[in-house]
Amino acid sequence: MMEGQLHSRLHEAEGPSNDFLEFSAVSRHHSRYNNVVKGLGQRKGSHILGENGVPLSLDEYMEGYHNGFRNDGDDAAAADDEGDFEANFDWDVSDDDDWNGVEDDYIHSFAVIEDINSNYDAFLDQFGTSIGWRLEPNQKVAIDLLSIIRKTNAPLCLYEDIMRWYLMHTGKIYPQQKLGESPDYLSRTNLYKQLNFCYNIHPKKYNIRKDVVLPGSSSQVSIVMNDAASMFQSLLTDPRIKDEDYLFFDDDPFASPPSNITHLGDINTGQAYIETYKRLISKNPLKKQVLLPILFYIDGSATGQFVDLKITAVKFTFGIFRREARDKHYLWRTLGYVPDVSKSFKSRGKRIFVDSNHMDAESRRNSTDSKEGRKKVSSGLKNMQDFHSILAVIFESMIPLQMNGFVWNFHYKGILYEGVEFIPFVPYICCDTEEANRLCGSYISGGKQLCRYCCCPRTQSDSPYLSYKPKTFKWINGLIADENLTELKQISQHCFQNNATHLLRFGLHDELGVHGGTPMEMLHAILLGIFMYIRDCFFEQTGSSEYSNVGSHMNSLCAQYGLLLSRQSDRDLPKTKFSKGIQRGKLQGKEFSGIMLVLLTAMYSSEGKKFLVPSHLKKSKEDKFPNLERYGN
Amino acid sequence: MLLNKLLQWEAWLKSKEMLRSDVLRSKQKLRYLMYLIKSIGNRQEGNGWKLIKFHGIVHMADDILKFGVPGNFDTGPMEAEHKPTKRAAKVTQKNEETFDEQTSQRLLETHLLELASEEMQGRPLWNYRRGYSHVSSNALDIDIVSDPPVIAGAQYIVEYSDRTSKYVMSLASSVKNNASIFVEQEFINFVAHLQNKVEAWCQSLVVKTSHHRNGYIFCASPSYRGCSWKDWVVIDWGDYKCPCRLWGFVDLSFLPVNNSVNHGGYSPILPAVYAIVEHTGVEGSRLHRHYELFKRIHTEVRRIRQNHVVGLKLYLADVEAIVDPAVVVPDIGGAPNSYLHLRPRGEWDDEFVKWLRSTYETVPSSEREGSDLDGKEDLTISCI
Repeated sequence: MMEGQLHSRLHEAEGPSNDFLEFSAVSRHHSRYNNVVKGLGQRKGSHILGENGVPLSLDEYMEGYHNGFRNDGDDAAAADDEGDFEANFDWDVSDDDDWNGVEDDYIHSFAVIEDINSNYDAFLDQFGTSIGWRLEPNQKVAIDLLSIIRKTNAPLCLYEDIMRWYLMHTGKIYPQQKLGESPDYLSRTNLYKQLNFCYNIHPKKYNIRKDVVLPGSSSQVSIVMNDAASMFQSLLTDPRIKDEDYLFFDDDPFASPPSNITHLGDINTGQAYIETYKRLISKNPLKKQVLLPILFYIDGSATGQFVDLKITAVKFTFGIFRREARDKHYLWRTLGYVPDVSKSFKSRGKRIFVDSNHMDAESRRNSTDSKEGRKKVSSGLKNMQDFHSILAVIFESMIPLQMNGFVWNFHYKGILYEGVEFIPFVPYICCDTEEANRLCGSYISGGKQLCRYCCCPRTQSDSPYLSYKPKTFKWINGLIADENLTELKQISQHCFQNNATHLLRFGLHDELGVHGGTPMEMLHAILLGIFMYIRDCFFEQTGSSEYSNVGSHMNSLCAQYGLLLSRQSDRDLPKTKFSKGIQRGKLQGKEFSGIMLVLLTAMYSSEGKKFLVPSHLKKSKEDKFPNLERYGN
Repeated sequence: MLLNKLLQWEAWLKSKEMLRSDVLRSKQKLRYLMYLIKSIGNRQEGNGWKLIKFHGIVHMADDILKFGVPGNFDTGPMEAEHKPTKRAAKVTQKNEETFDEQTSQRLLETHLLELASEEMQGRPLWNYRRGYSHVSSNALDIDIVSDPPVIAGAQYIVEYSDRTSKYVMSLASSVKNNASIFVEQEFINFVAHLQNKVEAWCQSLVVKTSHHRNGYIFCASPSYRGCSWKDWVVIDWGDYKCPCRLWGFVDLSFLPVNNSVNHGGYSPILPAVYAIVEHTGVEGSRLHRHYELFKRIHTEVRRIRQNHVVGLKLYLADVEAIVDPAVVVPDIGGAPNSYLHLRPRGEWDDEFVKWLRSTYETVPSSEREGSDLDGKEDLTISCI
């Protein structure tokens, strides 16, 4: 009786509409949490994804862009105006709405084509040579020390320890004093804040984090990316770039490609560049236009032997740099990182927990998107859709630049060309086969067709003398629009909406789009492909070294020749010394040319010939190793 | 044949420049190469050669025509770009939720430090429109090339030993390891005879073991990294060039111009720095057979007995006559003085180009009926 009364009173006090526990947001004013607020604020505001999380088409996006979502007044960006970028130094780097002349709309501010240039103008006005600022001694000390720590892969916290040691032994602080009490000490955080300001790094243009609920797996991921316009500016102004790094015909940025190109070399000699140049660059010499190839590179990499954390960066560089220059790390910028969507089961687990209505799960409900974890099964198609949604978010800030071009005061060989209009296009995306198939929306494995370029059926893919109809993005899009699943299955293409690469402007030399824009590259296709298979075939024919005398003997002979070839005055040879022989062992792609070389040497040698064709079988047609002549000699 | 072709093909793909006409021809020629791979490789495992990496060769020429040489879109150099990312990833908390963000932040910090470093070297970011000043890298190159050729390395001297009643060689400089060193007596005798002939001008002739020239280091040491290391070089003998093996270097620049010293093929010996070499003769000067990477050569020897070389034939060669390094390995299982001379890697692509320009091979009969399509599929098939 008493229990019943107590329960009803409590129920009255809660109010009849409260089915769940009520949560109230706790406000925090500590500066540390402002960063958290800022981070959360940056997470919203992607316009490239539709209601269902699927990327918009290019036309839809540009329509929305021109109709003003650019000026939507990004709530998040507006909300985080207060005190998120305070610094303990004299210059005024407080976070007002105008950072070097750029509005605070965090992602689309540069979409007007002159904004990259005007931002740099404002940077010069505010912080240029007129002030004559130089690095101060304590900044130089901190920079040197941090550079050493970075180079040696030492933990970052070592900075404070070394600083304490240095300041203590130079008599600048007493052992019981705090580091911050010394005027000579500059903390890491403050140093980076100062450098951010000095080098025009706006904190809202870099490391932008967006939380997106993916349409395929309905899992929530955080996409980290950088603003394309800031990256473009950073790449164009990098002090390490030399004049000889640029790739222009006749050293003239505005020179058109020669009418008759007989030699193929760098990117500007290919059809993609030449035909796109003809279509996009004005013939009016008064218009100072430069065609800007943007070369993307997408590849994942493991970050450690014992760490299950893969990082997939979307990087780019410009094709106005020479190939040799493009090999340098400072000529690449990262547009964003593709989060690992294979862990969608976590979102599903979170959803199960929240939907269980357990008391402990109620606190999670507020932080869980209503769509998150709703879908049960993850499939190849859904992963593909998710991948393209992520890519679309990463590409978003680049699309207006790509469609409108941008103006830049370009310095080259001692001349400042003012008001140069750069017209970007994407000739190709460098990636391995798996990533390329993803980008094209092709099946990663299996299916009736293997090729992402053409309609060659799997059964005919080893026939060298046959050619097939190419796949074009328009054709594939048409099939997807018609939901022609049968034919899509025939050509091993996934049926998903709006491939993110269709947002990019590929070369105008053909209509293949991404299907012709993911070229087969040497490392994976030839060195780790053909060469590796040939080695395996050879040992398949001789027999494995474990079971076959011939295989074992050839493996040993190859190892010896590898050793001999490694001791030569000509250092131009590939690596030929392999500690585990050539038959097995995990090898890098570049090592396979060395494998081919030692194999050829061994087969060419008298010993190799004797062994591969035993004397008693020499005249017989049933040689133990019938292919010697054709392999090596 | 296949391995030759594959190595030449790789070298061609790595070229910095290709003739457009060659690339056009490669459309057809590479199909023949595919046929060779398929028929010789005869892969039985898994899907055989029904692989995208194999089929992709068909599209290779088109890719080159569209985007320039394959080096433009090769991911090999770009794989190295992972290093900074991996390094940045190491100094994160390895928290799955914030991993990308922290890695990106570390990379940004590294970028800031690099910009600061540039500023300290006089290239602040705000100088872009004035132009950044860089020290010309060409000046450095000129210094390297213009380095005068020198002989260096460990130093050996030859003395007569009363105990053994023969000439012996002793080490005049310190070496890192004290392992036993063995030197051919024929070589010691060659140096001893030379020393005897020039003793009027030099008491003790020093044999050195390395020679630096045009950025190359030529080694001729009886003991280097565990065993003897005698490099091969191409020597220009005036009327022909051939690969020769280096045995040591002697500085005879102290000799007067007018002398009557006669040794190692010179009469008289002009004042200069000389290499002691083993010669492969005119046979070594012959060109490689078409399309092949290896050529079998033999060194000149005094005598071979019971399949063993029992007498060396050594010569002096002016180091100025060294024109190129050479890659030569013993022909194991062949004659004791037989070697395999590898064509310089810089020429491999030339051979592939020659092959591309040669007449098209006829389409093998087995490939003419390659299609097993029944015509129901909407695919265009053309037999080339």
